[in-house]
Amino acid sequence: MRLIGWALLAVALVLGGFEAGRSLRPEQATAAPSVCPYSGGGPPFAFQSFEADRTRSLYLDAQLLAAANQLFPDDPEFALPPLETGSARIEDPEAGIPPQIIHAIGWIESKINQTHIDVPYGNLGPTLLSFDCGYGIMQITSTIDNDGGLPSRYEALVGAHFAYNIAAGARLLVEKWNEDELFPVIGQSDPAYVESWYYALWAYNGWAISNHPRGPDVDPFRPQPYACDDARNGYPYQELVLGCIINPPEVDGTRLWEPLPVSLPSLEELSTPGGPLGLDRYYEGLDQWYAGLGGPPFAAMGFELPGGALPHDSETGDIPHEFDSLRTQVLGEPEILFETREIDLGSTLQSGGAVLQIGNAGGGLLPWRVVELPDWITAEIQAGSALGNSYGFDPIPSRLRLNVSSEGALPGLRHSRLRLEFLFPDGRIETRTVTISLEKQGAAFYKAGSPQS
Amino acid sequence: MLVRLLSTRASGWWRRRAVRWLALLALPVIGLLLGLITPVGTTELEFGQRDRQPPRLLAGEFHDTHSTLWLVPADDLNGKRTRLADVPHAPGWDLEAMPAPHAPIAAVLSLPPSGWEPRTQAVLDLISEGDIRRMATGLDLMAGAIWSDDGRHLLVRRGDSLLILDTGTGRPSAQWTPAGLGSPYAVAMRGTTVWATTIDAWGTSLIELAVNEGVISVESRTRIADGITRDWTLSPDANLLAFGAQSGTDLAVRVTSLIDGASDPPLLLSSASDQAMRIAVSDVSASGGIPDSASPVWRSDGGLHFGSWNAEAPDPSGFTLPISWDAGGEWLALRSFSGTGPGHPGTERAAVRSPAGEVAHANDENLRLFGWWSE
Repeated sequence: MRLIGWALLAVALVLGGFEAGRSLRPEQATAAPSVCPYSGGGPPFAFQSFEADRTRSLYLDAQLLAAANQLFPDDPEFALPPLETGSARIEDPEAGIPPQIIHAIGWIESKINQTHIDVPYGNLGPTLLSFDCGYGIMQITSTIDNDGGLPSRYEALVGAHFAYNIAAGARLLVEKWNEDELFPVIGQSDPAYVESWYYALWAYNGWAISNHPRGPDVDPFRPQPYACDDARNGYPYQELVLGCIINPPEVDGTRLWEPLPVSLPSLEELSTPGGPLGLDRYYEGLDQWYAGLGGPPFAAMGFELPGGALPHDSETGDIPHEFDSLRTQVLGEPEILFETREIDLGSTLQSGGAVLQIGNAGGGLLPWRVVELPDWITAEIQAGSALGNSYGFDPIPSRLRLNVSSEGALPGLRHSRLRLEFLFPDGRIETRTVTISLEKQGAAFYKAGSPQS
Repeated sequence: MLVRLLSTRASGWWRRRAVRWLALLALPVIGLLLGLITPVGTTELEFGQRDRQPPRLLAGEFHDTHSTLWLVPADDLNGKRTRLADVPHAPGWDLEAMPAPHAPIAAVLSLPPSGWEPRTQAVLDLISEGDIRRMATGLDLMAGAIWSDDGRHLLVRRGDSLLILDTGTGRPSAQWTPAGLGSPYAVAMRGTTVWATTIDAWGTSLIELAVNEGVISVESRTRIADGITRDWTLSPDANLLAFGAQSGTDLAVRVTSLIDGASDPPLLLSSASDQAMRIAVSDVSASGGIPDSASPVWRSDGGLHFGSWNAEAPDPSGFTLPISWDAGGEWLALRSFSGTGPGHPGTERAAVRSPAGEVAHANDENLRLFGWWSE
């Protein structure tokens, strides 16, 4: 009997260990990237941003402004470059982007979210970061240099403020449009036609065979147009965007924007061998491009506007003409709220480091970035935004946690400084300096310096 | 203290006690190790009695941020289903699933909830009733997963490389990266032979690879088409390869012999009618294939089935594309379209053709059939 008892116990122990072993297999969950091989090669920046309300109305308004170059028209880094229009490709400073295109790109890229999916609406949190180091709503990737250093003004604003992120995406799209030395053109290059943007959209996602409408990776039996809430598998990128323009998505039963009829190119007519959307034309263009031969390599892929295409006036419908008041609503008038104080770091280091609280006494978002950081100090984030009394939410300060770096500090008393730069939507820049001292074996202290703007 | 207990100086009673407790402590450790290394499910071929019940299909129900895998009886697509698993995924990206040939397991590729790039971030799970096991990450969702004939391996794509994953260990047993342009597409694995294709500016090539203890050697490379091809499928005897060939908007099913002088031309069955046609392989290949057709699938008796349509005289009932035959060769899973062809497919729904030739449709347009479940 005793032997049976021991045997049963033995079996139970083996089985228990067995199940424990199965449950210990690590979940290979997808983690944030540790390096950005296609944009700088270093680690991604740590940005903090604000997530607006669930309706996305704030973002949609910002996209309206960006499409009409009314968001940051005087900012050389975020203004839209003039679109090259007409058969002669002459710059037209009055031309803009049909806003539905920006809406749809934002939806496809991020469901129009600026921050990580876990950040509640109306809160601050980590900026949305994709596997290939795309940031925020428009998934800005190529213009960010992740080199392991501190972010530039451009990079900080793209990561920390939704409006600049949207403006950067619109600017990138126009750059693709203007690149007629490389990409083919449609019709007379009239940007008022959504159909004219077919190749610019393709290029925005990457001029790859995976986006060719007759390529090996698309489903030849995919329903057209894309229904926006259907599975994306089997569609090239430009068809996803155009489908969402035709069939806008809904949030809580409300359509995010008015549908716009768009004529898709006829693949039956255009993708025959030798036709503009024939695969042979694409491959010929690649050969010409790699060989460095002269002339636009993909010129043979150009085609006329599809039948039924209609021009879209960016100032029709429910798009307001009062850009100034809308811009003020979107950007607000932020004011720095950053108090001088002194913190005993001895106790705070043990609890995870010192925390600088950066507030906004005005409205909108107040973006900031770290521009000077001692090498023996780490900053948990390198840029962020403080929310003012705006967008239907109470103010939320941004918090910057500082700590001694893993390499530590040399023995003795050290004095260094941290500088923060505050970036205003009217182009102003103000800096604040924080003096940090650390006695290796004593309490470290710091104090905020006087403004140096 | 332990040493003291086990030493020769310790009394026999204490020594026996120590040994007994050590043995008890060792048992869960042994169990733990077994749990870590023991594969889930089975990769062995299973032979059982013929199931007289209609076979079941592995089906997926797509939702924006998760999809549900179901086991659906072939004779009742709209009736009672068995939930296999709920799989969370990135918004908008559907699963790609493949049931195992001889075991009740599915290989499921998905883009995880935090993922955004389907070509580099897909994960592969083995899912059976009551169990999900992560096999690999960093894969290409759009390339899908192909089971080997014995169920011991899975062929998937990571970047520009074809991975041969051992389903027992979860590790790649071999990897192949084709030289030059063109990513590889897995076709089949039988025994130690792998077939794959590459597509480049000059067309499609079929590559035959030999896998020997983790070392891959290229046995042959054959140009099978001047353009893009898809839906490659190897005949049961591995003598013939059927695929869909694309030229502009035209699609055509073609059959290529992999062995010189292959005999026994395939029995061809069109979905438009059930009249059997015998066409020589050489005739099909030389003519450029069967026009306005796609999605060839082999039946276990060597017959080839495919979908077809007539854009000029469209059938008001639409057209169907076969997905696969069940193991008994009696039931056929289908993609059913209300439209007239690839340019205008209309609405798609899952469907099944019964042994009696009747086609039943699923009411749920979100339901997608992946293949037949091995019981």
